Order: sequence, then structure tokens, then C-alpha cells
Amino acid sequence: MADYGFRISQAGNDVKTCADRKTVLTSKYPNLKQALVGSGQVTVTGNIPEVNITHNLGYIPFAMVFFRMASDPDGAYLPSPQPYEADNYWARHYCNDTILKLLFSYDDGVGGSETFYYKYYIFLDKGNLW
Amino acid sequence: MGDYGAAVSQKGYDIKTCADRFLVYSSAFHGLKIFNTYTASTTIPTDPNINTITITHNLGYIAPCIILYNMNSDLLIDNEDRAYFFSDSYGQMITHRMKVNTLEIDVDQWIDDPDYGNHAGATAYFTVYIFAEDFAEFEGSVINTGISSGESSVDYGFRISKPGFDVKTCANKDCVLTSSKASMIVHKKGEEAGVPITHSLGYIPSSLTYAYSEVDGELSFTPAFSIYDNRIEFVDSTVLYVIFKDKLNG
Repeated sequence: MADYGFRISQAGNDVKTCADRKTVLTSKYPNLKQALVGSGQVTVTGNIPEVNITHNLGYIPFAMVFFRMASDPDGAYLPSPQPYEADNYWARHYCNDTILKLLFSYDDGVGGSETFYYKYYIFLDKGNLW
Repeated sequence: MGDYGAAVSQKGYDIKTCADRFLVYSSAFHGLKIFNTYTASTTIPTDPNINTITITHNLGYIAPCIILYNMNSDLLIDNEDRAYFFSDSYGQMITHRMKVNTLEIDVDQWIDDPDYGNHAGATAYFTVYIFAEDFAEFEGSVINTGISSGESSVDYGFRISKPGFDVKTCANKDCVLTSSKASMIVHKKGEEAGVPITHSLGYIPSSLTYAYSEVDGELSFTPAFSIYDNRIEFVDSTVLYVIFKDKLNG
């Protein structure tokens, strides 16, 4: 098939000859597209609450999740997953064909609680191509 | 030179005045183009063996990647199919190395069971995205930080389908770009070592950050970074990063 389509190069690059990675957009490669974006909060006291976010895509997508903890005075956001070996908390998430499930754990050893503020991006792209 | 180029806003946002993060596309900013997708699997070995999956991409440069773990054949007997982001079902990071022409993924006995390693002999499944992007220094300007306009129920806008799909009828997932769905717009990307990555967004953005070993010429996704409204702090000595025009806080 002959070359065809849509191509916009990055500033300073010749759109006809530049490498694909020097394009802003090309119909040769799809961009990541967001299907659902949202945020929320959950308070964790030792146990592992499950946050289910319904996506209704009918297939398994994938998601990026970021969170911050109320006790962090700087309010920094961290990515999920955070390994379970780390500190006194962990986070991870997965998608199945109906929901995005968020899992947070917090254990300070004295029964304290922690509130996790999260934001998620569920992509239109499939997370399981098997 | 005045502002020029092309831009597409998300549905319901005024293209002339909306904040950058409500754009689907702008020629002023980079996107995250999917070079290819892969499925890969291997048998879970017994300790101390490691089975390495090698995916050859032949890009000739180190590119961002996303690895989804689709569980192992033992777990799939009792559970629905899932996609874990860079981790196994226990939250253990998937060990991987993105190189100039290959991506390697390691699987050991402890995947999905760090205490007993009970899944040796099962098959571990992965889905992989590799992007047609490098980490050459780039920082987009902040063109607009305000928002305007309300929702619209009228379908309209801009659509480019993937090769082989009818642009008029294909699903949004089969589009290269559609104004019905937001894309991940890159604000800044590059390499940093020793000092925090700065950004000028004024809000806390989303990011993909990878630990980079120049000696080995390889990178791997790291969760060891903290995002603030003016910087990203990281633990690894050198990182390659992509910062998106997406607001995490509020």
C-alpha cells in the first residue's frame, strides 16, 4: 500500500522526511486516548478497602493511577503501584472487563488510619491483548 | 512570531480559550504515539532461575513503554482476566529493561506469590505498549490556564482513524485521534540527574518516570517519584521522564 495519511512534525523538523518520533501526530501511530478520568478518596484503617470504578468498556483496558496521602504535608502525588515492601503503605490497581479496582493498604502498627486521595486515567486502549 | 498551528479541544471546551489540559491535540505539544503493541508469555521458573522475555522493537532508541501483567495460568483458573500496571497481583514491580532495540521482561518463581513461590510451572502473560517517542529534551509552553464553555450534547469535532478502519463508523479506540476522547498531551520530557525535575504548570501533573542506566543503556519504570506543583523528586540517580498536561489535584 502506498504511503498516505496525516502527519504533523515537531517544530524544526521536515514533515516529509523526519523520523516518526519527531512528529507531533501521525496517522501511522495512534495516540493514547483517555476513556474515563476521575478522582476520589478512601480512608484505610489496616484492612484493604476495595474501590471499584465501573468503566463499561466491555473489554479489559488499562489505567494509570496516582494518589496522595492526607498525612503528607507536602501533598505530593505518587504513582500506583507502590510496592508492598515500601514503608507502611502500598497501592496497586488493575482493570478487568467491567471495573478498575484500586487497592490501598496502610498499617502504622498502632491501628491508625490514612486517607488516600486518588486520580485515575482509564484508557480506551486494551490492557489485555491475549 | 505569533501563535500558529492547529489545535483540537475536548468536547464542550472552547478551543480559543480552554486550558491546555482540555485539548485533545495541539501542534504546540507532543503526544504519546503507540509504536506497537505486543503479547508475551513465559513459563514461571523455579528459583534461582529467571526466564527473560525479549521483545525486539528495533526502534534504535530508548522509548517509553507500558507493561501490563495479565496474570498467570494458575490464577486465571479462579479469577477473571486482569491487567495490572507494571506490577504482579501482589504489587511487586515487574522487572524489565528497555534497551535501544529490545525490551526484556524477567519472570522468577516469586511472581504472584512472594512468600511461597507456588506458581512455578505456570505461564505468565503480558501485554506491552511501546511508544514512538524518544526522551529528547522538550518543554511545551503554557498557552492557556483558564477554562470556559459548558457541556454540549452535539457530536462534532475531529477524527482520524487507524489504517484499515472507516473513520465514519469505527470505534473511538480505533482512531489515531478523536476529539471525543482526550489524549495524553506531553508538557515536558527529557533526562534529569541529581536535581528535581522542574515544570511550570502550576498544578500537580501526571507523569511516567523511568530509572535510566547510561552504563547499561537501559531504562525501567520506577514508582519511586513524588509529584509536586512545580517539580518531581525522584530517588534514582538518573531518570527519563514524560510529564503530561493533566491535573491530578482538584
